[in-house]
Order: sequence, then C-alpha cells, then structure tokens
Amino acid sequence: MSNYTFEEIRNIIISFIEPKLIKSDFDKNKLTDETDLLKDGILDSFDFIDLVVYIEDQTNISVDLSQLNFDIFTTLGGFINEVLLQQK
Amino acid sequence: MIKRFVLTGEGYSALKVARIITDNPNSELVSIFTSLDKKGPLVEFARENDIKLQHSTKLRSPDIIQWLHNLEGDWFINILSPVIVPIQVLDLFPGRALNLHTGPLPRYAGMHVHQWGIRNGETSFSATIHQMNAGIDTGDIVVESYFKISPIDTGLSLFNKVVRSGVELFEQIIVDIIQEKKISGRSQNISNRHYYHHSDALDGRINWEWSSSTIVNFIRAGNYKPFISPTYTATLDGDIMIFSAEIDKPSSKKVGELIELTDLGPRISCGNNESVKITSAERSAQNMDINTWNQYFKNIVNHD
Repeated sequence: MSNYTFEEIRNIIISFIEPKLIKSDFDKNKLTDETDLLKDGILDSFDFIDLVVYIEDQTNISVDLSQLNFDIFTTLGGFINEVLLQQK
Repeated sequence: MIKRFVLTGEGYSALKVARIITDNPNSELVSIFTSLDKKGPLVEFARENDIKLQHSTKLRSPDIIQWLHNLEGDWFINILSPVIVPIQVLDLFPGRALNLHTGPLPRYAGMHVHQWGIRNGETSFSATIHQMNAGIDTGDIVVESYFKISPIDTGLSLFNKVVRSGVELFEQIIVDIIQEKKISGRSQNISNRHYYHHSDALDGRINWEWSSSTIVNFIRAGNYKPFISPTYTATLDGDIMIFSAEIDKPSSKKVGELIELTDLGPRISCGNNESVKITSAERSAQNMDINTWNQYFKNIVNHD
C-alpha cells in the first residue's frame, strides 16, 4: 500500500464532494481545511459514510470509524488527518 | 454467456457492486432501482452508463414487475435497500435473488441488528449474503464473513465494518456467477431465529438495574456520533445524550445513584452492585464537563 500525503487525500475527497458543492450551493473557493462538511451542509450522514467507502476504495486504507476523533473528523482537514493516521 | 443483473440499493456500497458488474465484460447491469429522491451515487452512475433507472419504491408496481419480466435479467441483487422486495419480483429470479444482511442469520434477522450485536455483548459479528424468499431474512445462506467486534466499536463503526465485509463477499459471488459456478445456499435453522424490529430499538433510556457491561454496550450501540442514530441515543432524563461510558469499580449504593463526579464525568451505581463512569455526553449539543454535570446533579437534589 502506498503512503498517501495530506494533499493526495485532500484531492480524493475533493473529487468526491465536488458535485455536492454545486448541489449545496457552496462556493468551492471558500472551502478550507476548517470547513465542516457536515455542519456546512455539504454532506449528510449517508454521504459521509459513502465518502469513507470511497476513500477506502480509492486508497486501500481501511478506515475504522471507532478510531476516529468525532469532535474533528467532520472538518475537511480533520478527516484528512484521521485517514492519514489510519494508513500507518 | 453474458449474465444480466438487476441491482437495488443505496449509497456508495451499492455503487461498488454496480461497478464490479459493469467492469466485467461477461456481465451487464440492465437496471438499477434506487431512491431518486436523494439522487445518490447510483443515480449518476446509471445516467453516465445508460443503465435503466427506476425509483426503488416502484418495485411494487405491477407495471414495473411486468417491465422487469420483459427485461429478462438473470440475477437480482439487493444492497441495503430499505424497500421490501415483493414476492412477484423474486419469482422472476428463482434462487437468483441475493440480499446483503448486516448480521449473522438466523440469530440476527430484522433491523439495525449490528446495534443488537453490540448490545448483546457479542465479540464477533458477520455480514451475510442470503437468497431472498417470501420471508424477511429467511432465505438460504450463501456465504457469511465473520470478524471481531472491538470493545470500542460503536453502532456507526460496526455498521461500516459489516457493509465493507458484505461488499467484499459480493465481489467474489459476482465473479462466481459470471464463471457459471453453482451458487447454492444452506437453509437456516429457524428455531434459532430472532427478529429485531425497528421499534425494538427506539427507547434510549438507560435502565440502571442493568449490569455495567449491558449499560456500556447499550450506550456505544446507540452512538453514531457525529451523525444521528437511526434508532436511539442513550439518554439521561431524556435531554442529556450519552455517547460513551466505561465499567468502573463495584458499588454498594442504590442503583442510579451518583457515587462521585470525576473529571471525565459522573460515576453512577447500577445493577449487580457495579458502577459505570460516563465519559462523553452532551446537553443541547454542548459537551458536558464537570461544571455542567455538577449543576445537573445539584438541580436534581433541589428538585427532589
């Protein structure tokens, strides 16, 4: 399994959420690592589970939701960091 | 000979199975039934790949059943669709309709069974693929895959594990179907069947007469944080949502009584002369800390 960088995981997530940004009327230029994908209405809970499966599919990293810090993992940057932690 | 599949399902897990089918030159996905309200990933996939798309609730319509008959599909696959597939549809696919169930059968039939696995103190669980028949989760078991439930698994994390495991099973089954291998099932021992209804899992109140392990398991099974549980979240007096707790020292105090307030949260006595410590809770979407807990218990004393 290759080791993914922060930017690579970010790009994978962006490719997943891009169509949803349009649907939720969220300006892509305003997307930062602090953006809360759930609270800002970009993803709902089902989308988030889909995102986890999508990341697993794209990277072969098995994301264990019981290991995630649920206070931060719905932000873009927080989620990327949690995925990076689990690839080790 | 090319195998023709009809898929009903939701979400990216169903999309993964759809891709397995369409990526193989010896199989064809002839129709997808999914929720058109939500416009999930299957909707876009069907449109991009020119696959006939139907709203999953239309599976009950006589016109659609006739349409399916004319479609001459070979296999029917269900991945997490909430719609109960009518027998008239299953009759079109005798022995060739498969469902992903999120728990071991026959002991965990019905709804939200992964939560019940945690609540019942199971240490392992399974995804099961079974043939569909007129009953709910009663068809012959084709294959199952067991894995461990970790002591920190929640309702959310276990659901994700079960679905991941189930999709992996389907990857192999679809290859077997395409290679014309016999897909047979073993019948379920119905005397071991337990059916869990949605309504069985809606009450989030903690019964302090329960043992400490039962309470801790009840709390984590209802924990879907940061998402909303499809059933219950454990509560204290209805307005404090409890997300995690741990087994603590024995206690001789009356059940439900506060033993002490720690930095993590309150330690409360429970059945079997045991106690639990609540380690994560919220009130009005705000984390409970030692001050807010202190205030809460003061109010109880004043109220009494």
